[in-house]
Amino acid sequence: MPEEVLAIDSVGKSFGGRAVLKAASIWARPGRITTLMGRNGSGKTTMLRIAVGELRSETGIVRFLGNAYERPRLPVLARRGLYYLEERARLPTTFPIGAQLGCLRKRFGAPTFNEVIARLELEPHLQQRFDELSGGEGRRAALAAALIRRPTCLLADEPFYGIAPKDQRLIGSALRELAAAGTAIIATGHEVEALLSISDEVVWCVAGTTHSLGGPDAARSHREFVREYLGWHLLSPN
Amino acid sequence: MLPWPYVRVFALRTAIIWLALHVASLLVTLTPVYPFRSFVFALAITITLILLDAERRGERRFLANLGVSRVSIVLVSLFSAGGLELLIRLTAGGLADA
Repeated sequence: MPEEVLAIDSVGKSFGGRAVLKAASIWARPGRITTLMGRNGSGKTTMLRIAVGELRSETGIVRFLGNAYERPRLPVLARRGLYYLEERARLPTTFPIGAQLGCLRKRFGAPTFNEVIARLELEPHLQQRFDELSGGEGRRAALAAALIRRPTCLLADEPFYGIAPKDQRLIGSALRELAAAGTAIIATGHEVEALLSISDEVVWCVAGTTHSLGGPDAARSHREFVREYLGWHLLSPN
Repeated sequence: MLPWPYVRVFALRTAIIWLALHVASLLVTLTPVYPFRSFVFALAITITLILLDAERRGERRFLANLGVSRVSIVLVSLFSAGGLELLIRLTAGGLADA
């Protein structure tokens, strides 16, 4: 297995005296998509926000490309190749989408700019601002920024949340393509089938810690995961 | 380094706030408690408003993903306010209560 690009290692975090994370860990490896799943409030977003320095962990450490950070900062990590697609990802409304993506193109070269725009079906929206787009269009535009950046590591928090199946497929295949180009990806969310269909590894976040379940098939057959998170047994009368 | 379109945007916003503070200084005293001078106080207000606005608009995180920190935004605001203040002092004098 390739060496990790990013490690969120044994992090702990409490909110108002309640320990959300006690010793949670996840690793992002080149060319692989690791999916972080867990119930609402289990600490998935908290882990990603700790990784980019938006929250400070009480224990544990973040390592990125061999450097250890007790207090990471997104601009510093971004210069080294990290991209953070936050929950319900959005772009600023300051300029039209084309101009926003143009900033990334100028900064990072982006030889695949036109391909990304075509692949995510964004041509008709380049002159629109982010707040003029629908949820799915906006999510695709935000993902386009990440694809143009071609990061070493992408943290995508709930990339499939609240969007149509076709948009989910467009985004899923774009994430797969990015991983195929060598990017290490961590994605979170509750859209089980969409996430499992693109995952190489599933990590379950529960009771303040994390469990690596292996590949999607192993996750689907993991009894505790199925019972405690997926709740599939609730669908069956037996 | 901030992308050029954002340099222009932050410079323009700084100019608007700075001019508004100049107008306000004609009506109310901006001189706060010792040891700050009204110029430093106005600068602090301007930078705080610029940073809060950038956060509200989602610009701060977008720029962070480009490797741009808050320090760059603050520097653009400082230079814009400083340049404008120089221009104002050369033509019309400083803050009314400076």
